[in-house]
Amino acid sequence: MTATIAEVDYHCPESRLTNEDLVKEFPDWTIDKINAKTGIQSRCIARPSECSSDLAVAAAQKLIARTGCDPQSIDFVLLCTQSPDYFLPTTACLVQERLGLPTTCGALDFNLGCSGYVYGLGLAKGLIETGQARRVLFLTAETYSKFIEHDDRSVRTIFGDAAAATLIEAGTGQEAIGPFVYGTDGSGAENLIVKSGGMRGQVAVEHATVSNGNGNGHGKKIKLYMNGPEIFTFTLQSVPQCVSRLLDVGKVRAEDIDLFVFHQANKFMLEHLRKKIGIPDDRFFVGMENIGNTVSASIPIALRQAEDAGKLTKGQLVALVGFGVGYSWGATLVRWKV
Amino acid sequence: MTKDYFLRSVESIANLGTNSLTGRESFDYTQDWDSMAIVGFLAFVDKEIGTAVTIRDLKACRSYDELYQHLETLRGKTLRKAS
Repeated sequence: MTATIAEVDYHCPESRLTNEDLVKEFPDWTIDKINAKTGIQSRCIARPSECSSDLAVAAAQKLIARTGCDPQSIDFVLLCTQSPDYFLPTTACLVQERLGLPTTCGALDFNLGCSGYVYGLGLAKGLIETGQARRVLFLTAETYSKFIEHDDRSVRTIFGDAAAATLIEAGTGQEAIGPFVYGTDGSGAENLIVKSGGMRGQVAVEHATVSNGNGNGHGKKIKLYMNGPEIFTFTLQSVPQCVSRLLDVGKVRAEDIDLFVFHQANKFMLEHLRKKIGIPDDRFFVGMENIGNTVSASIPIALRQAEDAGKLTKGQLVALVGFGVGYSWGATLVRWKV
Repeated sequence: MTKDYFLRSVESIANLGTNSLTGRESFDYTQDWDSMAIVGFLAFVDKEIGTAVTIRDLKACRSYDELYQHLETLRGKTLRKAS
């Protein structure tokens, strides 16, 4: 038995944060400068009452409508998020009830960021190919905007909110997902972090003296902090090696890959990585212009966009590469919808 | 990489005035560059030298001349490694 991706869909909240909005707030920046450095023109932003489960349910409903899949046939839900509705219960359990999935369905959350889609595919493949499940609904949902300080312009230019739903099914054909390569380096944890919210963060906030209000999220210890230069250095070192390992393990050449879909971090970074690794422009997909960096949802959204744009068709070989917060990274090969 | 090429590139990346740098100016990336300029500089170094300069490297340099010399040293190491 082999696992295969049957379908992917996604949902973005209606609200948008445009570069025009940002320039009004930060007049020393220009629209052209933000475009040039991020490749993003607008970001999807969840409403205050809109949480990851809402986005995930909407994405799953679109997927179910597109495929005609009977919700009763789904026997496992994997949900990747770092912005869950609650500490507990598990967001995947909320989603099971709201989608009307059977109570015989397994459900779990896992906490990963930009590498989460690759890891989730690995988990789904494991569940299916060991006979534990036949039809897995894999959801990636993030509302990072809720972590971001209003005056932190560097991260506000980057992140958007969204969810993606992927249906992974048991098939009998050739291997369609894998092999996988993974990587972890926890020494980079401090470079992309939300210090509050967890138990250690509670203590930090209680003992914090004065907010320095410097807009980088680190002084207040209550919001997202990103050290962009350190993250960029990490990607320069890890991503080319990760791609090289994937090609070795997969016993394929770069020329055999029909499309490379990386985590949609920002266009400047992606273009630099593309050139550094030597991937031709026409086999490298970037689709974040009007969505933003949606963390673990970015790769499946890009897959859907690539298919809609006619750049990804059934049977093609796709390389997926996720990297970021943790530090965590992973890559896999997917034979598209076989 | 000539020093002139380095200085003109830094001016462009960090939005400093054209021909405003001689190399003798003091350098403090936390004051002189925003995060986009830093990332742009890291990409420039990676492209020109083929290796990543670290934030620790940037912190250690007190002038643009020192930064240039540091990059030249890194370039030499990279070339030796490649050969």
